[in-house]
Amino acid sequence: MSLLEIRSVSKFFGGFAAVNNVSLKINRGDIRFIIGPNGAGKSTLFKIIIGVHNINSGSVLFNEQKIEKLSLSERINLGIGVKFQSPSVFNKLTVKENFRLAIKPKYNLEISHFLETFGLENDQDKLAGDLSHGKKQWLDIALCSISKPALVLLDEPTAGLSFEETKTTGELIQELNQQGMTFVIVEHDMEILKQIAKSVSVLHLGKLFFEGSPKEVLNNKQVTNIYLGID
Amino acid sequence: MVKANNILTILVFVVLLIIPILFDTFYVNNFSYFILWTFISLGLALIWGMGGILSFGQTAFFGLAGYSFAVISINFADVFAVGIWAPILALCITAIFGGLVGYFLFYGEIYDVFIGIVTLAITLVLETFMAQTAGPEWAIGSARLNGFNGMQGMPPIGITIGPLEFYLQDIGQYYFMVFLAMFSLWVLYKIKKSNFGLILIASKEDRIRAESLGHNVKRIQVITFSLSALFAGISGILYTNWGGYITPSSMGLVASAMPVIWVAASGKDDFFSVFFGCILLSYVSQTLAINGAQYAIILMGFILVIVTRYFPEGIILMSKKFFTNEPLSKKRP
Repeated sequence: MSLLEIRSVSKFFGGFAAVNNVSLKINRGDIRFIIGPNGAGKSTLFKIIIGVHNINSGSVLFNEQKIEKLSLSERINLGIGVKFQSPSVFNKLTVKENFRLAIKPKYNLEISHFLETFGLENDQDKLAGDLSHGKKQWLDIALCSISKPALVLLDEPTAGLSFEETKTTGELIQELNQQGMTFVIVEHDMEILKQIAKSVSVLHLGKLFFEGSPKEVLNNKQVTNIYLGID
Repeated sequence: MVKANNILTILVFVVLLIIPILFDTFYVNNFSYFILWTFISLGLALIWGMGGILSFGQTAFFGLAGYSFAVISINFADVFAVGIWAPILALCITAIFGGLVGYFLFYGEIYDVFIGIVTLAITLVLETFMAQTAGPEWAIGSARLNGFNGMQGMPPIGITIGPLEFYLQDIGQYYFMVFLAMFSLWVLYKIKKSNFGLILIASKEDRIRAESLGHNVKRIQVITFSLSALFAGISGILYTNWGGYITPSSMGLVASAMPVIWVAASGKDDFFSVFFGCILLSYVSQTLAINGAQYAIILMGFILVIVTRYFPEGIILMSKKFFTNEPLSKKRP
């Protein structure tokens, strides 16, 4: 049974098809990377899944329930965590207050474990805006995963990170994946894809171009060509 | 240890509490006038300072509450305890109207500068409408709306029980306002410290991100808008009771700009600064108005320009931070 299913989804901006009849199935426990060159439709698809963009046709199912008519907050409360492209932590609140916002009362979670996991234990009283870029990214991932959602959607979680920070981010995602969270990651960075991806979907010109294991994708000449812009 | 902030708050309220001992009734009534404006300012600080939503429509709620109180109390002047339940009913009407406006704004995805435009339009439409109600056909029950001259002759807030009369006037009215202001500040600080307040503050920084953490931000904004309307309504009712009249000009362009100037100049991020600053500025404004209303308006405009340029956090808040050694931020009002 798929945790997330996208059925023949299309999204048009005027006459331009940003996402054209795309279907995807994400199974529980997967770490699915969605890659593609600029303009492939990755971010639009991401926004369709979380409900920022409405769709023109098709449907989106989470746990076999249609969610395309639900608002962003309603989707989140079904068990989806979201991290946007740039670190969108609350800069004027402390790290602890950021966590307070992310914890749903019903989970009654202890945040100290999470602070430790993400290397933020000494920063909890700091303003989030004073953290380094890498720590902001980790705090952002921590915020969307602290309530242990079934599905976590990450848009470019390693953007602007050093090689070491990217590696650590990969390890953090793997640890959360082992705790039972499924990941869908929109990413450009091939290093983290090689490090943690379990499956990859390649988008090109708004359509699903290729799907397979990381090895299959990386060895596919057509994928390499469209990714590098070679016809 | 008692914080410097708390000492300042206590000091200001102690001074306010002893004013009736030091001054005669005329001055006490003047102080009542300054304090009654603090509620509309506190409501604006809630929606703007905490929620990041600039509303020019607070005077619409002020006027609606004043007119509702006048219409209800005139029509039911002979009914028992009308001076108690009429203001409460007027406040309920105002809060519901505020909630409805908020619902259409936030669920209609109207944000940023457009909220200012829409809310200003609402208050000006109300003013224009009420100003043309001079004819005898414009009456609700036995209450004539009276066009630009406004309504008067409403019974005061209070109650008569047998031979005993309790009505809000002079010193009693003054103390009622001071204690209500204390209670309002306490409620607002509680809201600020609650999860509700935290979500509201977070939504000011990034609404979509707050929603992406599972919070129904629109609902929280509607509730906050309704609460801010309620605070404006308190001012409207107290104003109507204080002067015994309510006119359409209380919803005019100048009237709607004043709370924005008071709140921005005082420091919209801190309720106490807004409370204290509003009293000071309305005192200055009133004193100047004695020599000609235009001086007060020019001065208020000048203060807004100076504050925006040199005191982005507000004069009172920045002074308070200076004396309590709190760090200043570089935010614009």
